[in-house]
Amino acid sequence: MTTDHHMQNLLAAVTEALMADDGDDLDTIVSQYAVPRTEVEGFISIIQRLHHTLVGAAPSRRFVGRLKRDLIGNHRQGVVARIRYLPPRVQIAAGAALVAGFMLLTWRRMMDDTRREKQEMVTL
Amino acid sequence: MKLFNRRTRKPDLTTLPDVELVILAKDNSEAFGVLYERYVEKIYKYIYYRTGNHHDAEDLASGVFHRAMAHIETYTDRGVPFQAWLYRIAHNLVANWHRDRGRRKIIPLEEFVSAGLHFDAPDSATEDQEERDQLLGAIGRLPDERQQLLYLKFVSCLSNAEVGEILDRTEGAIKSLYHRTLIALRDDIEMQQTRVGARRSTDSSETKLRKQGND
Repeated sequence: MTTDHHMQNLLAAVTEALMADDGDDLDTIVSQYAVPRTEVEGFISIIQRLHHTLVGAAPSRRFVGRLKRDLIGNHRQGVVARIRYLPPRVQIAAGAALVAGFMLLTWRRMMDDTRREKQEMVTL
Repeated sequence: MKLFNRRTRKPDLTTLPDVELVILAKDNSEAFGVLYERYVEKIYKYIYYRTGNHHDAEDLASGVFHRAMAHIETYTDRGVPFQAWLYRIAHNLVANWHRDRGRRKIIPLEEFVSAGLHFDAPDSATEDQEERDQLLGAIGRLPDERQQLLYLKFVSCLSNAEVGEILDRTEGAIKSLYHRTLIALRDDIEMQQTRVGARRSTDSSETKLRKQGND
């Protein structure tokens, strides 16, 4: 492995340690690589400055909430998707209610037809 | 009856990995919502550093997620994970933004407030600010890809492998690019310091000469 590779691995390890707020062990990390200490110090200083300077600028909660509403708030789920996650008991009850309702409607219509036929017979 | 005791719970989407969420998100907006929550802050921070102001960062971040939602159905993970795909959309939108407005990548330094900034003595606070300005200036003079690398590593806290997926390079290539970027930064900062030193010595000798002239 060339010195460049050692240096690249060392810089990666130092950066990871700093990002993980584990900067106390930098000496231990540096000692694990065959790179002269004097060459590394300048880079470590820059990495530390980058770590302290490039801090995040978080978005406002308002923006995050508003965008989420824009993205998915207006998307209505279909009936099937809504029913899919219901407990089986509720699913069975819903199915039974639908069937019962359908039967009731059919029965009422049949009853109406029969009553009408009877009335017509009486008038005749 | 076992059937009646069993409960089909709605799966906890937040525990699912990106790959599964992306599949679900194709016809379930709630799954997309989880992906959104997972990445909105990272994407926003990245865009903020590339644009330098909150207003445009909000506009572009919004554009990234609208575009992602519109194209999620056609998205397939062909070696580009969802996160990398989002960053690529963000990068393209930022590039268009710079091109459309003809803006240079000037970052308003006053907006970068360091979370770790301590209330030091005024002199050291000024020195800190100068150092930060110097560093941000040096970053601004780097080529676009190197700036992107630094923001992805330090702002979005991504690993070399993740940065590689976004920039379409191997992890080894990213390590090498990072090394070269640090060398460029170091040289730029040293050059700036030499210039400042030379300017200060010229200023002080001019002041002395002026004083002597007055005497």
